[in-house]
Order: sequence, then C-alpha cells, then structure tokens
Amino acid sequence: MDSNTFINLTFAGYFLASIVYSISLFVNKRQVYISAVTLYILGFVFNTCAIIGRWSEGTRPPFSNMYESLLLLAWAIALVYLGINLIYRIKPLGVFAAFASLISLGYTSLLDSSMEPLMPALQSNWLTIHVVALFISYAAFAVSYVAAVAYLIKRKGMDMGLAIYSICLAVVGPTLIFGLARGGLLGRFTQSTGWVILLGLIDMAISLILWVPLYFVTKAFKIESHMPEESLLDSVVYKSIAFGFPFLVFGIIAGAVWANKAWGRYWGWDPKETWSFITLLVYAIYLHLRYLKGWKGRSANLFSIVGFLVVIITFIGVNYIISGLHSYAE
Amino acid sequence: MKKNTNWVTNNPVWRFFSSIKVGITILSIIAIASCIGTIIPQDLKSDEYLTKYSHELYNILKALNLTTLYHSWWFTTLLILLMLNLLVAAINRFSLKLKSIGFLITHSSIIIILLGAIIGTVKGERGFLWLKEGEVSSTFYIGDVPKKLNFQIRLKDFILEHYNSDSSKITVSVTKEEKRIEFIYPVEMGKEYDIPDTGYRIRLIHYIPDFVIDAETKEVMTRTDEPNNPALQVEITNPKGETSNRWIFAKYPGMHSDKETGIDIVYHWAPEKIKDFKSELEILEEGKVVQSKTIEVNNPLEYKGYIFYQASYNPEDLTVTGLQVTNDPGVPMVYTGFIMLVAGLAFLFYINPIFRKNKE
Repeated sequence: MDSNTFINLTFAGYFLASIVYSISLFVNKRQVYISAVTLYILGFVFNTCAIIGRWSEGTRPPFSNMYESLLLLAWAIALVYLGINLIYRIKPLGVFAAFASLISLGYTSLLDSSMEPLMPALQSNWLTIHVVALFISYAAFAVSYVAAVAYLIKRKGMDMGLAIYSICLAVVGPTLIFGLARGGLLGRFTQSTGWVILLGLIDMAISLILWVPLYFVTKAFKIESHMPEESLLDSVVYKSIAFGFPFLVFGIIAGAVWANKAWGRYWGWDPKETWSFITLLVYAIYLHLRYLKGWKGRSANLFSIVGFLVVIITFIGVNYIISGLHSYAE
Repeated sequence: MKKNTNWVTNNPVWRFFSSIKVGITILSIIAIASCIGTIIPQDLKSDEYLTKYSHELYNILKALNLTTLYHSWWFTTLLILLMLNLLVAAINRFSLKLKSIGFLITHSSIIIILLGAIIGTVKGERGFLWLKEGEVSSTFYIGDVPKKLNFQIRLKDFILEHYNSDSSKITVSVTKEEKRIEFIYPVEMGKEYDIPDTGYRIRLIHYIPDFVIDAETKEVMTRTDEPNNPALQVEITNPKGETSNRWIFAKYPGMHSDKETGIDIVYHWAPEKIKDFKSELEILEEGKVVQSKTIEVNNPLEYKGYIFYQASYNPEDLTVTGLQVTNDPGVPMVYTGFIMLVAGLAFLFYINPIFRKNKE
C-alpha cells in the first residue's frame, strides 16, 4: 500500500474515533469507550505507516512542508494524548484529542501534497531532530490546551464562552490562511502591517459567527457535566506543559545548532525563531508562576490557552504571513 | 555564608532583582517587544521603510529603535536585566542538594548563553567573500569594509548539482498495424534509444532552455538561461537507416507530429531542482596548501577560528561561489550553555518528578 492509502485509512480512523468518543460521553458504557480508544489507536498506527511510507517513497525525511507537518502533528497529538491517558485516565478528553488529530489531518486536504526533493539547506540530520522535538512539544501543548478548554467549559458561563471562542479562533485562523494561500490571495496580506491586522480581525469576526452554534450545542448537551474533575484537568494542563517545555527548548536549540552549521549563525531573530522564542517565554512564565506561586485555576488555564494560540501563530501564521528563512515550510 | 552576605542581600537593588515578579515582568516585556519586532520589518534601508510608512511614522519608529529592535540599546538592556535577575535568583537559591541541581544548571545555562552571545556580538566577525574558480584571496568583506585574513583561500572548483529523480522525459508514440504504442524515456543528451519492434532509433542531440530562431540566418539559439521555452533536438533513424532531425518543444507538444514517419515525440519538461552546491576549497599559507575541503550547505570549512560557509552562487556565472565568513569566539560558550540548558530542564521536569514520587 502507498502512503496515500494509509492517509485515507488514518483519516477514517480519526473520524470514526471522534464520533465514537462523542457518543461515549453520553452513553456511559465501557464497550463504547474501548471501541473509541481502539479506533484512535488504529488511526495512530495508520498515521505512523503513512509517515514511514512517505519517508521511503520520497527517500527523505517527510518533514519539509506544511502538508507533511500537519500529518506529523496529527500523529504527535495522538501519541501524546494516548501516552498521558495511560497515566491519568482522562477518558473524556479523548474526544477533543481525536478531533484535534482529525482537524490537523483534515487541513492537509487544503494543501499541496506533492513530494518535492529537499533543498540543500534542509539536507541535514538536524531536520528530523529539530522537527520531531518541536512537534512533540506542540502536541503536548495541544493536550494542555484541550484540558484547559475542558476546565473552562466545566465552569460554564463566560469561561465556557471564552474557551469555545478560542477553539473557533484556532480552527478558523488556519483555515482562512490555507484557503487564501490556495486561492493565491495571501500575497496581499504579506505585504504590510495593516493587512496582517485586517486578517486578524477577519479571523475574530468569522470565529464569532462560528461561536454561536458551538456555544449553544455545548450548552444544550450539557457537555460540561461529562468532563473530568477540575483538579484533575488542572493537573493535566500543568503536567503536559511541563512535559512539552523541555522538548520545545531542545527543538529550538537543535534548530540553532543547525542554523549555525548551515549559515554560520545560531540566532538571527528571523520571525519564526522569534515566535518560537515568544512561545518559550509564555510557557516559561506559566511554569514559574505555577511552581513558585502555586498559580492554578481559572486565570492560569486562560493563560495556557493564550500560550497555545501563540503556538498556532508560530506554527502556521508565521510561515504564511511573515516572510523569513522558514518560508520554505509553506 | 548568609551572615557575610547580609549587607548584599538586604540591599534594595539585590532584593529588586531577586523578586520573581520582576523576573516575570522582564520576560513579559521581552516577549511583547519580540512580537513587535516581527510585525515591523527589521533592518531595512530607509527608502524601503518610506514605501511602507509615512515620514512621521518612520521617524517615530526610528527614534524608538523599533526598526533595529533586536540590536537596540533598550532590548539589550532588557536581556542584561534578565541575566542579572537569573544570577541573583541562582545565588539566592544556591544549594548543592539533589533537588536543586536542575534549577541551578538551567538558570546558570541561560546566563552562559547570554554571555556567549555578548562575546559574539563584541568580538565576532561576519562577512562575505565571492571567489572565482582558480582565484586566490585573503580578503573578505564586512558590509563594504575589507578585512584581511592571515592566510589565503583558493577555490578549486564550484559544483552545482541538480536532482534528476523527477527529471524531464520524452514520450515516443509509434503507430504500428493500426495500434499506437507508447514508450517513455528519460532525457539524456547523446543517449540513443532503440524503439522496440519498430526499427526506429532516436538520439537526443541538443537541449536549449529558451529556444529562439533567428528569422534571417535561421540560426537556433537561446534567448536567456531561464527555461522559458525548453526545446530538444532529436535525431531519428528510420528502419531504412535514413536519419532526420527534429526540434521538439515542451510548451508546444503538437507542433511537430510527423504523419509521414508515423513517429510522434512529446517532450515533458520538468524543472531541475537544485540538490547541492559544493565548493572545493584550499587554504594556503606561504603558498603551500595546508588544508583542503569540499564544502557544501550544512558542511562548512573551519580554519584558525574562521568558518567558511557555502552561502550563495551566481546563476549567471557558474564558476563563482559565494562564501559566508564568520569568526565567533562566543560559540563554544553558547554551546556549553545549550547542553546545560537541555540537561537542566531534563533534570527539572523528568528526573526530579521521579525522585519526588519515590519519596511519596
């Protein structure tokens, strides 16, 4: 089988897992939950095969463009969620994780899947180390995000509204960017500061439209009553950030060492570098406040959500909107 | 120890820097400033800014150092304040207990990285050098300023490699007994292909990237080196042994379908992707070769603290290579800091929790 077949199978796996996970929230039966996990694991196995298949078909590591990155991200989210689930038993979060994998994979249909040979700068073993470390950290932050959203949904009212709005922003923004890029219209936005701000405003406006039905569905189905305890969610937010942070730093350092080998500079304030540095600072602030001041609960989890939105800007926004050394990642 | 340092630790300046609130405030300001620096383009020339911003706005941005933000005095000050904060925090919480090793390594590593970066900024050099094949040079340029090396460097050869995995192809279709048969061959100059069962042979003789034909002299030539109109000249030998020539064009596939010979050739041109740039370099001291290396992207040459990177080439003249030349004495320190930082974080977040669990 070729990698495209595996991608389709992965898609089917994540899609069915998302549906069965959703059902498992309402039908409190062990069999339903077990079939959801099995489907998610199956999707993950196919996802692994797809990546390996692409690696052997292209005879190069499949980590060089956005299509391949999203394939890897879907994989990493499944890996980190399934791993954390082994320790904490956070069953009800599976629905968010499976949807996150599904959405990440779903975006690939908006993107060019062709396998281009690697340009000279990317031909290095550091490529695999740099990218895989960063994606494990991104996936860990995604899991922390999922737990923070569940925490805020449980609090109902305005917090629930904010959490759902953040989901809308996180989904609409990348869709808008990929859509515009595909239509060849993104060039306008990369030209000036004003356009970038306009793009942000459009994202916020469309997110607001999406927010209305999503908020009322969440409310109508009383999803908050199916979420794990607040203290457990709070600890998942912290522990997945604590797990991902060293990977983030290691990934950035691997990139710095690689850049020094390729271009003779380990740091150049390229927009992608800068935004990964901002991500690092945001999570460093979170970890310090948590560790030294015992910061948890509502405000800490809202802050971690901001952290994840910064991850999305670093991962997708910068590649398309601000040109720099990493623009080949388009 | 505490007694002796009382006058230091009770000092308001010391207490200011030891506060975590101050630390977090500094981190936040650095984060926001970094963000601004990616929205306002950095280090452009003034006329480039004036096409984007009005004169007044540009002057304000310039006065606030927002166009060279990351090298500005205030951003550097922020980094130094962060360093002081880390230093005070590390001293205050200094302890050789196992559980604080992670903390100590992590925080001191950042100080070491920042110190290494300062050494690099103050003492480092960074320039460029264009070399032609056979040329010997001992000068590189930092901006427009020439800088002398105390050795010489020679370019023996510059090689530009292309990928051929996804290379151009030709499709040959022949009608035989009212059936059309198709054969696909890679484009390789000089290669002869026997078309099976037909008695035809074809040979590719010429490739022209941007085909034009002079209207008067009927001379074929290329207008540019860009593949705007790629064309191939094919020599066809029919079963009787008669040869004929034909030009085929990637952009105009139907132009030369030859009904008489019953053989049809279509040219599928594919862009040639660059695979690698290589420069064969030699270092000379007093006329003698003391070191030689073929450098490529991701694989530079180092001599006496100077590192030569494959950085550029001239598409108009493939005998010229562009080398980035750097000398950064801060790098060993930065790398030491990197290793410590990774080790320290692994301690803090992966090893410490295991100890804590065992205690419980």
